[in-house]
Amino acid sequence: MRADIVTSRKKKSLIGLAIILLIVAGLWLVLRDRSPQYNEPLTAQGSPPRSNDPAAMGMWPDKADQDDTTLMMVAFSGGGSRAAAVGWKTLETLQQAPYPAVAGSSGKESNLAREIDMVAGISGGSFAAAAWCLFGGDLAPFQKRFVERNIQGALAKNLFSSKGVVSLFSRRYERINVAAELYDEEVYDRKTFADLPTRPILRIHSTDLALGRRFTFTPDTFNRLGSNLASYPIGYACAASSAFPILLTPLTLRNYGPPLDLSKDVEYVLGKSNSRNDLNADLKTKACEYYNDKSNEYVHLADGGLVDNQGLQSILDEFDTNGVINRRLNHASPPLKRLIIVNVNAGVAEESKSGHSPSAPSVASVIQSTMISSMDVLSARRWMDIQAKCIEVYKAHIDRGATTPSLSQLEEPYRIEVSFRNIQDPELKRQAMALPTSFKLNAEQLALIDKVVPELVKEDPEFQRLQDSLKPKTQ
Amino acid sequence: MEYIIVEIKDKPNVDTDVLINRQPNGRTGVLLMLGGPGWIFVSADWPRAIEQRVNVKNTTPQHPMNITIECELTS
Repeated sequence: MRADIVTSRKKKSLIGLAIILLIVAGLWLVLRDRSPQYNEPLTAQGSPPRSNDPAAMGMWPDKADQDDTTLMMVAFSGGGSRAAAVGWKTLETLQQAPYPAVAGSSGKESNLAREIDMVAGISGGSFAAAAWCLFGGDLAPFQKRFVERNIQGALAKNLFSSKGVVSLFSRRYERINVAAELYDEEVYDRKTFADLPTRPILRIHSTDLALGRRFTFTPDTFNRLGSNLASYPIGYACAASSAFPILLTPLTLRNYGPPLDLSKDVEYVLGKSNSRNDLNADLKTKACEYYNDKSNEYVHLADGGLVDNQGLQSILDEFDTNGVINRRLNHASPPLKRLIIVNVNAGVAEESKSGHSPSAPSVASVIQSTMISSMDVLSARRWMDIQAKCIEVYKAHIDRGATTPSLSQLEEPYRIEVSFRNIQDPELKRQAMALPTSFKLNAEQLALIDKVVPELVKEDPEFQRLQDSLKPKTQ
Repeated sequence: MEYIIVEIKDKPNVDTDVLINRQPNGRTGVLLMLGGPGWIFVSADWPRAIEQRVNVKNTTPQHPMNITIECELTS
């Protein structure tokens, strides 16, 4: 009798296990080939991709309600919701900084934020950069939908929904696609790159894992993939930019054929000639060749912070020949007066205590030192390179401004840095440096950012010099 | 950074777009900045202008490279 009960229980357990295995196998069979929304191919019939790249637009466009004599570039660093919040507060502070009325604006005073011509964003900073371009200076929607929201809670909820189940069984639809759809639907109203205004120019950066180099969401890059950036959702680009390894899977793009004729590609031909002495040119030509090899059918993208965690390389690139800054400096009607570069760095660095103990540092501590700290050093170098470029540009004005119309009005370029490392109060600095890198900030943490960021902007010596320059001159 | 001045041969007073790497960037007859040293394509928006491939290096604002754009002869 007892043996019968045991056998019956065993049978029931086996049947239950078999049913579970059948369900899992069934789900795997049904869902394994489920694809996410990929980037679309360029079609002969479709309209040509809309470009927000001045290089593709021809000459410098007129700016309706902006000052044509000012060029302002802003770079937002990575750092999850902290980076988005610091970026957003910086924009709010710039919005409160008055800017003299510009011609054609019926004498109405403007503000400094309206003068922004290009916004670059990495990881958490990419969310703020995209929102600024899309929502036209209206700060409220993004504040509510992202900055004040528990995004990681929403992500976790979605991972336990039907989408999460699909991501568990599909070989193509991964966790990052669940995140991308959340950003697309609930933060950016399903807007795509076609919905962006002509300016500010938006630069969202991620990392191409095969090349180990920066991947920027521009029409030019997508053309190399035989793809149309215009129809690509902004939320997906932000997901790629913030796909931190291990926590999130990389985001995948399709690389469509046919290959381009590289012998007619100016950038490639010159890159080949210059690659021996120019590392950037060398990397660009390698990327051209890689994307042109259509057996590389997929491009896998991860967090942009893996190669440039402050977005400063993006600004440096614009000093290159035919970059936005280079073209504007060579353009004389009207001549450039103010070049303003704002580096919004939400990086944190807690003091290491490894020196207090004879034990070897933990794995986490070693990762922190080798990956994050070395990246911070690289970013600091890039900020110094930007400083050197600005000095060189201003020296050209001193040397040749009298005979060169495009350089005649140039003021010393302004380099504004918003960084927790500049906080003067030691206790506030300690608190700011201890802010978490996550997609969730509590009210207390947001209040701290609200307190320190406006002060960091206003106390920056370069910001103060700019404010002085913008004051009406008394005769 | 590097510096060039581009002119049309035998027409030093012509004021037109300079094409650097086939994109308009500045005007003829005035100092133009380049991002750095290396090979570039230079031409001008002028009838029958012949594009040149030049290696620009070791220039300063005071000592730019002078580039003269020739034009194809018309029959």
